[in-house]
Amino acid sequence: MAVIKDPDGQETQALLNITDFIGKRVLEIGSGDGRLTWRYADLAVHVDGLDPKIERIQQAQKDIPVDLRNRVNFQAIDLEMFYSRQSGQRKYDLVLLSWAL
Amino acid sequence: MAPESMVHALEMIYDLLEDHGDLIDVHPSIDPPVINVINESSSVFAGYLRENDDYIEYTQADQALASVINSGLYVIKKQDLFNFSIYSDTLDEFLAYLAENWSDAYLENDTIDRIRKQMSLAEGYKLVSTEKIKIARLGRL
Repeated sequence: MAVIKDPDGQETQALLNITDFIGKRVLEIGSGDGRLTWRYADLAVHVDGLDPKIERIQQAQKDIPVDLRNRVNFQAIDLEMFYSRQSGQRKYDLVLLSWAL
Repeated sequence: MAPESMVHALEMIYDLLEDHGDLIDVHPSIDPPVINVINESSSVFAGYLRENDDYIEYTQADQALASVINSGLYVIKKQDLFNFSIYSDTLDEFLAYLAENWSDAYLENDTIDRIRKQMSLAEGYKLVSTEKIKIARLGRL
């Protein structure tokens, strides 16, 4: 088994209880390897996941399910740099700070 | 992240959100994670997972959120607590996980002794670390 995180799904339940992801444009900050992203991404219309750790982002990119490839995007970048590139870009309905503060 | 950087991050997020947008923040509470050794019929408390300074950062995260609420950027719409558990079949696997993913965390010797003693009693025991996590939805004002 090695190590398993949240096998009883309490994190997923808390996330889905606190907001509705359906049809939302989501920015996830601290997305890491996408562990949390996969819990809601099928509900959102678009997800951008950011994390400065390139190995984790590479893992997330590798794991994107085929049916989510056209609406989930991961970038190895920190918030400051991402912010500086966002001028004039479309904004987000939800920003998820995923264990990142 | 330094406290002023946390506030700055929350200010940048404000600009990235639509007018109707919400921020969802997920971060641990300051309570140390509880370590239990469990099997199908029992759960034995073994101690706590200690951290060098993460609890300070969690307090600073609470303060940064309070700061941007007080300054009128956000309002709390909903908040909750949930348990986040990490299961390991062996102590060695758990220690390897900490070394790779959470280098700031450690188990005290007494806790390690209690885990080893309990897990040696029979097959099928698992080590479980359970942490209280805060989740909040903040609306952009």
